Amino acid sequence: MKKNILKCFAIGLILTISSCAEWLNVEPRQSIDSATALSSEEAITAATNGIYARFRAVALYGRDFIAIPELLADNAFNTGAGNRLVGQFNNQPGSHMSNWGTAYFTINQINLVLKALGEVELPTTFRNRIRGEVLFLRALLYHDLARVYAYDPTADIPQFNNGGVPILENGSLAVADVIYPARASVTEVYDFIYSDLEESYSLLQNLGNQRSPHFVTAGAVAALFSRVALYRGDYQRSIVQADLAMASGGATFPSDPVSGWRTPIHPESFFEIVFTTPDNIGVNESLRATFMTRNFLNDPNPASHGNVVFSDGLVAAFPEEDLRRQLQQRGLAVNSALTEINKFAGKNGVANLDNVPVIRYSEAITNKAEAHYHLGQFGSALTEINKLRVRAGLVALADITGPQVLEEILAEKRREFAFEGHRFFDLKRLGRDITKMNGVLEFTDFRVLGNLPNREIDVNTNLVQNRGY
Amino acid sequence: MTNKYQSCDKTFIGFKPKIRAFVALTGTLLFLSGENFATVRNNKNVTPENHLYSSTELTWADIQNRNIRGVVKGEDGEPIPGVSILVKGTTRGTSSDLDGNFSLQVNDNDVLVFTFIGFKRQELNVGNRSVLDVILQEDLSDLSEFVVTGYGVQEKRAITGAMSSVKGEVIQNFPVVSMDRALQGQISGVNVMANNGVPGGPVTFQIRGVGSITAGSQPLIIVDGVQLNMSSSATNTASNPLAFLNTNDIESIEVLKDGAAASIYGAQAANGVILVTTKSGKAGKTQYNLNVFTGITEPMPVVQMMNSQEFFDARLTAFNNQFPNRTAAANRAILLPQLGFPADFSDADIAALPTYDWQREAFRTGTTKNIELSASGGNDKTTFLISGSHNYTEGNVVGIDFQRSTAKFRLNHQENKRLSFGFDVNLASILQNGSTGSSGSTGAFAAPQYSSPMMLPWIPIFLEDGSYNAPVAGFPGNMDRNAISETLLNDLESRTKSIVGNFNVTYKILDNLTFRSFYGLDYRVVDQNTYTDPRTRSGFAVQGSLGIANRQNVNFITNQTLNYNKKFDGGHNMTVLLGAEYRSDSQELSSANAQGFPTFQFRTMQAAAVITSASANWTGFRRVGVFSQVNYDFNKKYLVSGVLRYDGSSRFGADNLFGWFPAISAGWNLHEEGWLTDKSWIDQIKLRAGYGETGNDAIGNFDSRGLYQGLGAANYNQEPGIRPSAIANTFLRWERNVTTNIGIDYAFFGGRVSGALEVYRRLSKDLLLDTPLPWTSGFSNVTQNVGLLKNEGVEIEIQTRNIVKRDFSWTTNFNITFINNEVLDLGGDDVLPGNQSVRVGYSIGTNFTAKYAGVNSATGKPMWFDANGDVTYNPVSPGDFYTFGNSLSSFFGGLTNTFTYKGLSVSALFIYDYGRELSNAGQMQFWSRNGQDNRNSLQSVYANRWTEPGQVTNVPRPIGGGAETGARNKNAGSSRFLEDASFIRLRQLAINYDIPRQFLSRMKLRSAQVYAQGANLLTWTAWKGYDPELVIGEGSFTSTQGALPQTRAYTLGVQIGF
Repeated sequence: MKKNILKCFAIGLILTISSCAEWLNVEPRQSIDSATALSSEEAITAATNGIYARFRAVALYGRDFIAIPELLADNAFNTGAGNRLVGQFNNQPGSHMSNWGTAYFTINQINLVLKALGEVELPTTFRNRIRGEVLFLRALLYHDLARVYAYDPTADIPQFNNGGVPILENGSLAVADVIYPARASVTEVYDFIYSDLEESYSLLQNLGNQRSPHFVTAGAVAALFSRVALYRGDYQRSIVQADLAMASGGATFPSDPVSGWRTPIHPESFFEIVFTTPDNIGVNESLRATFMTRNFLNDPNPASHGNVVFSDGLVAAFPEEDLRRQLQQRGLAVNSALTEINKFAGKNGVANLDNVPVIRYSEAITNKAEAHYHLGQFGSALTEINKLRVRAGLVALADITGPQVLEEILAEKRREFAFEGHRFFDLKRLGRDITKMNGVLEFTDFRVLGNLPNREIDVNTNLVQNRGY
Repeated sequence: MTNKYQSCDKTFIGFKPKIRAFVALTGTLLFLSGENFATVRNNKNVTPENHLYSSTELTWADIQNRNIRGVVKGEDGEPIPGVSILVKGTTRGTSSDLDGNFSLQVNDNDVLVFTFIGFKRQELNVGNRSVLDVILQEDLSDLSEFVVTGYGVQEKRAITGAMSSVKGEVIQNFPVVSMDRALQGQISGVNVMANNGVPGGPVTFQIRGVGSITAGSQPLIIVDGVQLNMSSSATNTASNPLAFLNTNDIESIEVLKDGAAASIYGAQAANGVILVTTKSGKAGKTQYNLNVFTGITEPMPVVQMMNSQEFFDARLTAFNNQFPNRTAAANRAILLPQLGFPADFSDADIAALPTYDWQREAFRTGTTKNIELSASGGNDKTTFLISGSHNYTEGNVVGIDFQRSTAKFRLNHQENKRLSFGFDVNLASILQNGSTGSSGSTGAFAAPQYSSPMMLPWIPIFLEDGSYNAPVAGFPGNMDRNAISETLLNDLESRTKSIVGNFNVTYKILDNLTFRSFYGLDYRVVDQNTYTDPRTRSGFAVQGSLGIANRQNVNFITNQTLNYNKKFDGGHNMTVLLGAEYRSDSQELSSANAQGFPTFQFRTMQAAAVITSASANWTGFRRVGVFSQVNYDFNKKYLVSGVLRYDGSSRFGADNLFGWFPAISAGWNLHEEGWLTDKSWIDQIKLRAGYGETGNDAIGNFDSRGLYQGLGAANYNQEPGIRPSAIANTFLRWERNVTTNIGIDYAFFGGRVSGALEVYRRLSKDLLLDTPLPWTSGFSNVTQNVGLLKNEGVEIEIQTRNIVKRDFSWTTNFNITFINNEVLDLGGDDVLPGNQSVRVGYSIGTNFTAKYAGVNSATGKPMWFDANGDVTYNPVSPGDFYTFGNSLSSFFGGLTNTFTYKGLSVSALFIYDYGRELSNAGQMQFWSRNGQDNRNSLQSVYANRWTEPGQVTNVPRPIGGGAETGARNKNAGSSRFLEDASFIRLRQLAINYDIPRQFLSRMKLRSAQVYAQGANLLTWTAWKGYDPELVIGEGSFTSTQGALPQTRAYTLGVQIGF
């Protein structure tokens, strides 16, 4: 009997083990296997939404690409309240933009979608539209990476130039796909961006503007292209692309400079990141909370830190009659002596919820103006810039030539795009020193470039860190 | 502690009733089956003085094969049930009944052998007596004690692995709410450290060091056979999954430390195993126990911050240093409004500012109360135990408390001599209130423990009418809200309901073959509620916000085991265990967040204007395994044990689901050897050696999978989105711990000196390492099997009975653990990419940071060293960084001294921990700001700041923003903030008094005791924060920022038995 029992038990054990692998089959419920995830039009659409959603990140257009360039340059003063972005205001080593991680995560998502578009049976229009959109987004990400971590083609310091950024063209799904890339040269990065933008434009140019501005349309592609070309010193191209953008119908140029900031969607936006109720970044890191003590324009009580405010210099840059002063107001409580921007004043109707224009009509104008300047076409440059001046209630400029034109363009751009994340990059690509309330940041200073995340240098020995870090 | 009541208690119920029942049962059954009762070691201690007996006249008729009867009692006169009584050299015998009575057929020349665990064996000649009353002496060396091991019990002397035990009575009534905290300093090799001071908060357990880099060092914790899910309880309050258990319901705790002891649990046992056995009923007249204690809880000493005038001075200096191009007057005019003053605020006005002590209001003295009632009884077939308890303990910071009700029911039934079953359930309901950030490290302004020291000191806490000064517009300065008032207005609570229970059936197929079927459940529901009141500054902007979350954990376990034992001729004994086990663990979480409430009275979801987010998810894992253990001994002199387990886990890659986990160990009871038996001062010397392999699968449930996840963060324009959430690694396999252990158990001088010594090496291979990937790959990290880690240590346990007199005794328990941790390999790298604190040749948790060079005495600017040892203002990571000490203890342990005089006993436990070097930057970089922004700093930083050229000091000059131009921030992490967290602490002081028996009988009481306890009474440390007992790097405890210090407690209690 004893033996039989043992035998039964042994048989039982064997049966148990043989079915063990099945017992261990546990499937996740809010995820799907990545190998087969992007196999339908719906899945690819969802994956594309997942790419757009990344641009809401604080490290991208949720806050940093709007607020930090103001702090790194001479536009903004940080009151220190809330302790956020203080290092950027002080140009502390290592305190810069930090879009590396989020940008490359997004680039991987884009590369995976591009791969799926090539493998899955899909309607041509759908395929072209998605491919055109994500190529634009990839170009935007690479350009943002390049202008943070590398010198711009128009203002290089060859002895300190450690390259552009790595170019990843293929997505990773499994550990075996992971590569350890080196930094491509700045030229290679710009070539890559150009090729993405050219293809993107050709795919989107006949698809209309219905999805503008929250999704990519041809106008957005042209507008970004005019920016990239300006950074590259490819001025004729910049003018051509600016004209294409303005003619695209993807955005309009309202007759006053203020009203566009009071509606959820800015009419000038070629491309605008949309924030809906679940996307609220909150009272600590949203643009509203960063720039304003109030929740809404006319609130009587302060609601948040509003720690990033006008510098003395920026306040002084606006003449009395400039209509854009309506986009400024005195803060509350501890900010009562300071000037705040109210471009992001809960215009979606909910506190901390503001759509963020990435590229808007006025930039096509300033890009074109500056390109004309660099080509020595001062008259055309003034014609463009006067569009903004007149709209803002300033007198039209005439009879100036030479470097003074550039100064006027920069001053105009500083006023028009105050607290929109242009100032630092404009000064950088022109190789200028930055004179701030708390000292001068010389163009040759290593702090002009961001530091590649240390963990990236640790993990990937092919990467070369920027000087000084 | 030991005292008269408890030694009586020990005699009576102190031995695990389950084990006692088991022994009694086994004895009886073995007797019935005709087997010899377990060989017991030679009696060396029985002398005529050791036993007392009385005899009466006997008649001639009684001489041949007559009846003898008697009572077996302990030295305290209490009867002992279940004592085995055998006629020497035969299989005839019996056992004593509930009142200690026995009777037996004997001959005159028979010798009776009395054995019972925990007592010395006695042999008595029958002679011509017919009544034989026996008094058994306690065996102080506890050699014959049975301890709980994996899937069974084993005689302590036969154990070949490394394990330690703690009796429930040792931690009884200690005013902490979870048993893990009570274990601190009690067991060698087990480092217990509370993560912070929240009652019912998490505790970090390390058995024999840190054996994993990312898969965690959490041991497997098993309560009455149920493997607990230790992953998570509530997340908004600091919570502990072990808090469900009333510490006073615990009978004993066993810790399986080495591979040989733990590998029966195979894949889950890499970090050791803790077996918790709760109390069982005992047969006899129903006994009731009432236990009540109450007391106060108190914060640790506060830190000294600057007064208003000192702050002003530092802040103005810092601002002037930051903006040297402006005049001091201009700077002052800008600064004053930021601080809430008019620009013309004069020096005299500043001098007149008051200073308020915010810390005193944030930290508070609280209360603790505990009440328990239990009933236990039954007959020889069925025993039961019912107990209920309620505990309320306030934390040392406003708003934090812990409330728990428990109910326990255990039933054991012996249907017949073959079939028995047991049922046991522990119910608990826990309500915890917390303050913002009390669940971990925090920089939240609404967290009183974080913000109160840094409040601008002239801001009043209260308004003149006595209400809180808490304007929704906020205070000037960085710390803009009244965290104390917000804590009181907001709701931050977690409600946990848990059931941990089991049902088991045991059937004796043969007398020596037992089948046991076990089913356990660990079920937990956690409701979280976080409401930010619209009247507070935090909630005003959004008109109040509410987050609710509900979590359900279902953790089911079953195992089926066969136990076989056989005695062969010539003293060979063998037991065999065969078993199979299945565990399924799943967790469901749903949550919703909303904002916009009409008024503060509306605090539930339905009143919210906007649901800002809602989410739900599910996760789970399964394990399945088969195992076998074979124990062999020769006359209990030579012992060998082998274990083999085959385990699978759903967490691993399809290619590596299963793994084998073997162990082998041997023991040699030297004192049984003939050449030592004449050394009468030696009670025991046992040599042990063991080798075992255990596994670790403590990683995410789906870490081997490549996944696309659908989640709110991937949605765009209110259209659904997905994105990759994990990169695939199908090669993922078990992390493997290989332990070799050599140990000695010793007992000398009749148990006057006893203990154990262990030396071990633990190698952790194929570490499940959260390996960083370049972000350019699209992912942050992947779990891979990389590396080799070593822990080596020596553990010493010594118990001495220094004075044992009739009325007075003094006993000492001492343990110390030396441990050394070293990373041996990281897959070819010298440093773990992405984690500079993990380096080959160094201990885990090595501090790697900038080396502070002090202050330039000419300029007051902070300096560091670069890689060449030269001074630099901007050291670069990692090139200029240095290695320092590490965050692991070098040695630690505890010392208990217990003095007993008649009914009075006093016991003191000191714990000590040496060698942890922790970065206190989390706290100190805020407390050292010294006017760099508008928050208060340490008075000591102000006093030592650089003020004039030539001054030599360690504290830089105040500078706005914290960084000199182009230089590293003076408060950035550096060796300046590395601190020695070693400490010695009077952890527990307990005074007990047993009401003398003569009063008890008058009051019709069985027992009565009054007691007083104190916890954390004295601490010696060099630590500069509140308290060095904290954990960094576990879960949400990432730094010392906002660390909530430990609590002191004093309680007074009474325990009554009737």
